[in-house]
Amino acid sequence: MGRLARKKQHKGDKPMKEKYRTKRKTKDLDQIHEDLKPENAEKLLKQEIDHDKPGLGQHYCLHCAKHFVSEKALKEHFKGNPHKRREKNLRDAPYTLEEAERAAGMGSYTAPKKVDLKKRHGHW
Amino acid sequence: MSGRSTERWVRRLIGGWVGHLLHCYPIYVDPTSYRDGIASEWVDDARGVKTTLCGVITCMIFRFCRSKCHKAFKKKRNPRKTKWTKAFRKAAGKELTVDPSFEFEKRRNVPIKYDRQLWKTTVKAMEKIEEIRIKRQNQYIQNRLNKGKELAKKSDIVEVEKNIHLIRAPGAKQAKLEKKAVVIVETEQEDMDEN
Repeated sequence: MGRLARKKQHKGDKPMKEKYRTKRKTKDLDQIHEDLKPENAEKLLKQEIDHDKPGLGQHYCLHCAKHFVSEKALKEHFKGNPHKRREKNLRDAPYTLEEAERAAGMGSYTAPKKVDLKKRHGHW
Repeated sequence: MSGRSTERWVRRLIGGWVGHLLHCYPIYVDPTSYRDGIASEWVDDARGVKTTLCGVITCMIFRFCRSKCHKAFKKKRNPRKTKWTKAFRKAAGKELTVDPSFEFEKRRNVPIKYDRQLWKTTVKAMEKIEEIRIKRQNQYIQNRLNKGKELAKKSDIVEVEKNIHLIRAPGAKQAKLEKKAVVIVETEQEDMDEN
């Protein structure tokens, strides 16, 4: 392999790299579904003041598992595409082993319903 | 059905463990018999890759029937959206999903004392149930495909009606009729002249 060929080994894999990067890794969708449960959501939305977190940990987006510096920044984030995309992804209920078994013929299979996010945590 | 898988089937049917040593596995895994979470296929105890994850599902062990499934799992593919899985076929309505014949094979987690008669009748019933289940599943697919045939026929008819001018010129029939009419008129006139 020549010098140039070696150089071009990783051309165009940036999206994949970003996907699997762990530096700014946020929670996975099933973890967020867990967070969306009322008892967990309450805790996450009313966090204690933490000086290490952006905005002292006071402006948290449950869906994106992300802290924001101010209320305004959070509101702007809700309007944005990344948040909407995330909401759309969260509408699918997480896949469970029970569902896998039903799909395999152990019991009747009914596709899970879409998750109603508004109902689930009661704001915005 | 091979001997081993028959035994597994029986375990499932008559409920849970039959004299098997219970390992300290987390709830997701039944050390003797379980299905793969991705492809929903049978996995043998000796075969299959084990994997553990951190996060909400800490310490759970997942087992896979083949590396294809393990890879899909690591990539966080949703089986419901992956075309080759059983979950996809059922979620998309391609296969029979709700039927009483699915209610026999289940993990019941109720130990049952060995009973030769029960074992015997269960094995006998299994074959029959399997036969019925397969028949119903095939019939479902057949019915689904029939619908497509119907629609294809309908669209064919519409296409012919729309494009008939390509076969027959629009005024062709009219011209023929006119010719006939002219001939009739001429003969009538001839008759009148003769008279």
